[in-house]
Amino acid sequence: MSAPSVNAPSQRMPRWVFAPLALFLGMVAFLAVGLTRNPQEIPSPLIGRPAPAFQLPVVGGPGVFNAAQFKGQVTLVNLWATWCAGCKDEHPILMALSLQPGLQMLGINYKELQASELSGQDPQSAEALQKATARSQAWLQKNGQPFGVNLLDMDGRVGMDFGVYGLPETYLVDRAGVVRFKHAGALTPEVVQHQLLPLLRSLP
Amino acid sequence: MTRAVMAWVLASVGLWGSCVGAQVPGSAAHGGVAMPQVQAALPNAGAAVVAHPDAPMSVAVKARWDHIAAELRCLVCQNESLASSNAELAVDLRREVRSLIEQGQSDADIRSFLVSRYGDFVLYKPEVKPVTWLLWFGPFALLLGALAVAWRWMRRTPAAPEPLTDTERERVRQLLES
Repeated sequence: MSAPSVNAPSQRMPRWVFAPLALFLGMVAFLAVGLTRNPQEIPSPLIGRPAPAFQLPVVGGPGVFNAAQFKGQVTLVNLWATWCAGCKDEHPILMALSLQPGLQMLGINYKELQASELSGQDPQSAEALQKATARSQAWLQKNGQPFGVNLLDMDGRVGMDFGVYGLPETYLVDRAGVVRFKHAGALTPEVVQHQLLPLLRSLP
Repeated sequence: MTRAVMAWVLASVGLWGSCVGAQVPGSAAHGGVAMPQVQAALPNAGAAVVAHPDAPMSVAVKARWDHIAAELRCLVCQNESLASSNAELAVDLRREVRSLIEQGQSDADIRSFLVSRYGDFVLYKPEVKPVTWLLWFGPFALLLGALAVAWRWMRRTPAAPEPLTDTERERVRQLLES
């Protein structure tokens, strides 16, 4: 076996025989990265575009909020509901953010009464509005009120304009009324530290 | 890695829960996203204020509906079409699409209504544009590349074996004669 002639053929093994292995390893790496990504994170087409125009009733208060009121202030828009588990998880973070100077906190209570509760009833009826208002206020009283303004989106039509597909969702709207950031799912300290706060500091 | 797989499995189970309308305990907390569960809405003659999206359609509306709805993807249950999903958002979007059809909007209008809100993700067949070129043409580019490589390998003339050295020649002679 020590004769050099025995080993000679293996030295002539062309390099391309390793190509399938390299290709396979590349594919494994590609799929491994894909597996760690969250399929719920769908890029929002709203980023860089003006926030949708809307008008919604203010919970417990007289009057409506008009999207034109976004102008001139940086606003954090949080879509939530009392039936949403993730909303409770992220609530302490919203409470902390509400102490952030120069940030307007806007809550949109999205479809507080679900289809199963309405059973065909008009979500905009006075009775439904009253029930949703009571529930929204009681929840915020218990868990803390981070919102400067809290609105009721009874039929989910405004949520649809924001492109909501799950709760909670959070948007950052700049002074010019342009959407700069979206997060689907509960806010985490990491998202706030690494994405939201740096963006907030960079906004004029 | 294991944690990522676990999280992915839990998120999938949570999603599945909200899609089939089953209550999976804690699914919303794991998946981080919750949608209201939908229940079979009974036709309520007394309070029929909200048109039920699954109420019978006129023939003309039905034809257009069939044409467009299967191309639209449900955002909540990502492997279901908008037409077949039971997620509450899908019900809302069906109602919206139906009212757009009834208002006489074109398929392109309806598609752009959804894409401007939810992105290309809602379309099973995203439009061909620079951002989606890789998606549309990537597989064909890969196939062409593979064919080109295979073609080169097949046409490659096998390299002539290196001539034997004198010692090797001597060893061959010895082996043959022994």
